[in-house]
Amino acid sequence: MNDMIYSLKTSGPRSRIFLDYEINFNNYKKMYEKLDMINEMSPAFIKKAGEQYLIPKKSNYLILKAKK
Amino acid sequence: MRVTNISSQVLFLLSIMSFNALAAQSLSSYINLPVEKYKLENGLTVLLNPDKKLNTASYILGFKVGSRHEKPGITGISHMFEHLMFKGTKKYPKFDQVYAKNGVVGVNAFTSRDYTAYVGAFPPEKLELILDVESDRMTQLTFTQEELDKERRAVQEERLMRVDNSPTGILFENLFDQVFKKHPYRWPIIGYTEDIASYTLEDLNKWYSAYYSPNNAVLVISGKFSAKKAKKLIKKYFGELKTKKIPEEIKVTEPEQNQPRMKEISKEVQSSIAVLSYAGPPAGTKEFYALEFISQILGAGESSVLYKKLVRQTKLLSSISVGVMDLFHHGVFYIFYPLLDTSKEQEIQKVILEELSKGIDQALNEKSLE
Repeated sequence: MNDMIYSLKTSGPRSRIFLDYEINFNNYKKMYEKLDMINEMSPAFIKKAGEQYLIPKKSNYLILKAKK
Repeated sequence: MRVTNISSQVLFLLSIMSFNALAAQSLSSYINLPVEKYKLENGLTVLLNPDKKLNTASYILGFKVGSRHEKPGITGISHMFEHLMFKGTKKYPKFDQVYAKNGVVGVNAFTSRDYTAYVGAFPPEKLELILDVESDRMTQLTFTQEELDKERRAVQEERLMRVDNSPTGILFENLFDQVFKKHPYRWPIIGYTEDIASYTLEDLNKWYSAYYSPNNAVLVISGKFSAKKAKKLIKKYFGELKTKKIPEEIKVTEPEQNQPRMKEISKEVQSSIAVLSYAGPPAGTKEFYALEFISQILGAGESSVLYKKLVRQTKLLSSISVGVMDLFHHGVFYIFYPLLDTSKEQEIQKVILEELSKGIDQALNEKSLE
């Protein structure tokens, strides 16, 4: 984990993270807000999200089998 | 140069940081990275992150155009164009050589489903050169049919290497096709073979003209540089570029999935691999973070639920990875694993589905313990 944190201390990975959050998350500040959002999340909310998205009827199973 | 889901890598990095001892404090209190964000009058978004402690600086110029902006028949054109961005302009016909002579390193690019970006690292005193070259490339690029044909061959080779001859590449290309039935996320970033073979010079010029403009771009500079000087130079080099009307994105609603989908592919590969996936919410939403939290409990490290059950206890698998890809419109939650023994396929699936349900409950318990 420390390696990960220290990679943010160099300019290349850092600028990528800012760009990614600015575009994909609509605002670079989301990278800071993320943990606060998770800390504030109630267990009931997590359960609801899991049950909304991770249910059998919404699953996609894919297997690449080695030809014998 | 590269087709990548950089956003998921970034998120993985941050997610690792999030779900551990840091959980009780905010990221901003742990690492303070000051950023100045502003927009030029022509719409260019700029993020400056000066840091005197660093020895060099890095730039990244992102354009809000990726494979999701394409349509059938021209899949992969964002990535193809990314290759052509390494051709010259009238002012800098061989900009890569100019960069090399001036100590600019790591000059590269990548295309994702949501955006395309150009990167490099430079000595602080070369900031003006970077801004001159990058602003020039944004609007003054020229390329010929011969250059297009040459890059087409390079992309065809890249596709063979990354997809057609890569078990993981085959699997993930099929995953997106399986999860998305209407949304443009369904096709591969690199494009289908027949489309790569058919782009015309006119297609590429249209792409450049439509999406490469300051109001569709984000410039980030991080590292050792003066923000005051950078602002002045950014205005000088990018300030005069004209705003363009960006094509309106066609909004596609992915139909709701109401039954499980299963697909088997058979290829001459060394070992079998499988993936279970689910369409998720957009990156950055509260629901997205909830799924990410669950993914960490299920599959992050050797103490995770699935690793303990399937690798350590039952020895049904040798490894397993769980994550959520952070895409702008729909994230993708996935559980990926190589199969040691395909006769155990059903048993493994059953365990995963059971543990998935338990994993959600465990996530809640861990959350409750905070």
